[in-house]
Amino acid sequence: MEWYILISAAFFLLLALFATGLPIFLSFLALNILGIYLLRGSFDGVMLIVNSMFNTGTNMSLAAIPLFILLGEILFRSNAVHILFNAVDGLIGNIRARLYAVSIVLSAVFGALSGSAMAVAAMMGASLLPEMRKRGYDRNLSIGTILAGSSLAPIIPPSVMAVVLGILSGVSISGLLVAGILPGLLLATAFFLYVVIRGWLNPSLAPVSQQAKLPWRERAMLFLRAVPFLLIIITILGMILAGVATPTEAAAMGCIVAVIICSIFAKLDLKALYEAVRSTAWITGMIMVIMVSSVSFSQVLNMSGVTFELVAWVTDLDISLVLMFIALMALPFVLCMFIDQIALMILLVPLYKPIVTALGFDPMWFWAIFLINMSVGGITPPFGYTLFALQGVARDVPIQAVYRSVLAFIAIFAFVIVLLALFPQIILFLPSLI
Amino acid sequence: RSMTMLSSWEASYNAVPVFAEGFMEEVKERSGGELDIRMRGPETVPPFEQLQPVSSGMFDFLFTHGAYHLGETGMAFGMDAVEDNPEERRESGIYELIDEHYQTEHNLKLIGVFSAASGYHFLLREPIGDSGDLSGMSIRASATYHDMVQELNGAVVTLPASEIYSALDRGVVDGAAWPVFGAMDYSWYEVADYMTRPTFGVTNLSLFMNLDRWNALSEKDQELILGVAKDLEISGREHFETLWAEEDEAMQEAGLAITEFGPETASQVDSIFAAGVWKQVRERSGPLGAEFHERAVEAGLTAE
Amino acid sequence: MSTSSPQVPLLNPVVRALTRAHDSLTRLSFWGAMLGVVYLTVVTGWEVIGRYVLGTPASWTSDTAAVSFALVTFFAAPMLTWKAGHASMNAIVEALPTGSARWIRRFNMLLGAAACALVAWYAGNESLRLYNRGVMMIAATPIPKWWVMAALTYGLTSMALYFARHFITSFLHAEPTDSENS
Ligand code: NA
Ligand code: NA
Repeated sequence: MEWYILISAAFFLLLALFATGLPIFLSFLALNILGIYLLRGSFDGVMLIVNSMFNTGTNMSLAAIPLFILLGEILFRSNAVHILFNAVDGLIGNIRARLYAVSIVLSAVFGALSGSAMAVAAMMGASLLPEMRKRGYDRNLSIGTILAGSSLAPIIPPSVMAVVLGILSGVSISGLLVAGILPGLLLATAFFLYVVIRGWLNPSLAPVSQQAKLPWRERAMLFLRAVPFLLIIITILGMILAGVATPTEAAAMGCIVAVIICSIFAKLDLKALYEAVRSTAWITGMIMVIMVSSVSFSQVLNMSGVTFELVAWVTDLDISLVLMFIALMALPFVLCMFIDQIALMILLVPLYKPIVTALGFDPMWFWAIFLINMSVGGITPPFGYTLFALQGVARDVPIQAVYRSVLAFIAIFAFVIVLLALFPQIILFLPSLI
Repeated sequence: RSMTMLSSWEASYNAVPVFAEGFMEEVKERSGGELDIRMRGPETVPPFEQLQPVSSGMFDFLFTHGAYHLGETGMAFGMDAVEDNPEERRESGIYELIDEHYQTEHNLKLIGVFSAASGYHFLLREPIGDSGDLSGMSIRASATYHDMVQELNGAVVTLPASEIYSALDRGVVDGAAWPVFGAMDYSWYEVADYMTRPTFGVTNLSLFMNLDRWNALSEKDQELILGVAKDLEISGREHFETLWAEEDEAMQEAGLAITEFGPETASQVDSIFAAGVWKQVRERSGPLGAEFHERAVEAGLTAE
Repeated sequence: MSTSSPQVPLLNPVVRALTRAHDSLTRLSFWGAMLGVVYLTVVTGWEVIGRYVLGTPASWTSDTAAVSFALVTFFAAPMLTWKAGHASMNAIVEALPTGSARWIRRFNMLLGAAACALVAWYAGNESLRLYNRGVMMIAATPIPKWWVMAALTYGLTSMALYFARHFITSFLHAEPTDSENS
């Protein structure tokens, strides 16, 4: 059979399975079993899947995932969140559109402490959003800033998605993690400018706040209370940037530091710790079951010879590298509207990996941009976990309003991605230090 | 239909073009295109998990290093402690022992063991001190070298291979054990200043075939395949002697200075390494493993 | 996390005792997964401290951490299947009429049971082989490979059973009410 028929058939079968609501891990597992059966004529090849499950399950690089999740859980289940909120709230002065700015700065800080956009969106949606609406801030712009801000979490380290992408693409996970720092800050700045300009153009979007004028002493106190928590960020980023520990080790140290700091400076008790561990086991199980069931997908592709044919076909195409790059990024951007981000990475990365090599793109640059592209996927309607996570805590907001609120921010993402493509140094500078 | 060969490395690793691709091309040529083999790399099955899929017939050939399936058996790994002389190796009868082991235990036929005409060494940040060994040094080492490092009074550190560069750079480890080929490919010469001499052991690459596929071949094809492997053991080894000389020169030009073990240790590094290897062979491969060791000793093919 | 499954007269006491035992085992193994998270965190942190502060790098730490990480996955997974907590994309099915949606769900449960059972079968045989041969993980610390393979087998077997149970109960009462917030 022709390779493009095979790959299209596999692709549509997988999409069909997703559409039936079949768990993602099962969709991949079923496709892999079917693929191996067709290639081998018997089920004996299932041993390949079993071995792949074993290897993926014991892969210490992936062990960063539960540790990143645990870190976020510890911080969010003690009241560290409120301390950080008060600090940012106190530090940002009496500018127009103040709470928009607060929400963006806060989401960047939370992004540096949490590995997942969903967690940040759910938390900010539960804490900051009611406050913004009570004070008469525009509902849609409030939701938009929170969603956009949450999408920084997978870009700024720690990041579960960066670990998954690093495993799938074979680029250094440490490199991919730190590559996100500058783009994350750039995006936060862009969002900040956008809300300030919107507030300036249309004052009705943001009321003038009455009370945000704290004495400097109090502001300093609020900031000082937040300093210990910044130590957690410094531990993780410092160890990775200095190259003295793997991301997994840095994450474990981060968790240990977080437990100590949160028990002293926040309200971390045994019950909160138990809940944090319980939730970590649950979410890790959810993500890792997908990973162990699906990594053999790339093996099946390789055995079928599809990968080889696809790369030959792509490299024979007579189009410029720029167009090729745009096409390679546009495909996941569109697919992300409908497919889960991790599922999409598992689907596309094994196909993209040899193409990226063959076309001579810098892998770190390419995959860092791909990661940012995927992060936007969480907020592109109609399907996006971050969207649902926010709607889950803001139930009275119709999903259509949530959809509309993010469009402008998606445009900003697209604009920043273009900037990053044109100026690779923004991405490559920090990884070059490791 | 064409056959498949599972390789533990990508084609960029120098043993693949010389031995794996060399074997496939020669087999194809001598059979007049009848026997066609296609390669599948580590992206299809990870290197450490390749024995089982070939045993069960999912692939026809396996091109690997004995240490990569050390969890299953140490038999092929044992060859790393056997004198680097293809003819004497064949004459001593140890091939038959290894072959028997893989046939009965793993449903695999041993096709050939290819020497890379070179062994292993340590890359160090500092030269060897007065102790003459690795005293006080932490050395990144895979299972292949654990006994070795400990015998030389060093501390073993396990890190993934991908971490070696930064670990050497930051001084997380004082050195790393590796086959003599590698410092140039992975740019470790930038972060290590010394390499130890003498080198120790022999790097061998093994080629196996699924036993059912082997038995299904005609006698003529079987002879052809074994003939190709036998010739390649000699010609490929010669090829590697040249490569090794070039690599050694390139490493020294790149700034890796030679640091010698102390006179007492230097005369023993080979036998210390061999002792570690034989320990693994005996532990992991049962009576045939012990017989393999004894046979090698009798034939004078291993350091005592 | 206790769920009140509706009393179904068709289920005889033996079946009910068996399902209750199955659920208890799942709760127990989820505890194992939680212990795995703690062990992974502590021992990985200890490795870093040992390396830099104490100057005594140890290799057993990362070897055993890898095993505990695998246990987190395979011990937690049955709970996810029990509580229908796996990630999936339900938007389309939820938009369908109840009747067809129910049949699609049933098909999915059956597929889940079959796929997990098939993989569990091969993993179980492989566990036996690894046990009989005494195959070790390639690591500095000798750890039998069958430990992890047996955990994998357990996880998939239990998941297959839950899919089968969900399939059967979908005929006994209208809608499964089990759900768990992650
Ligand atoms: Na983050
Ligand atoms: Na989306």
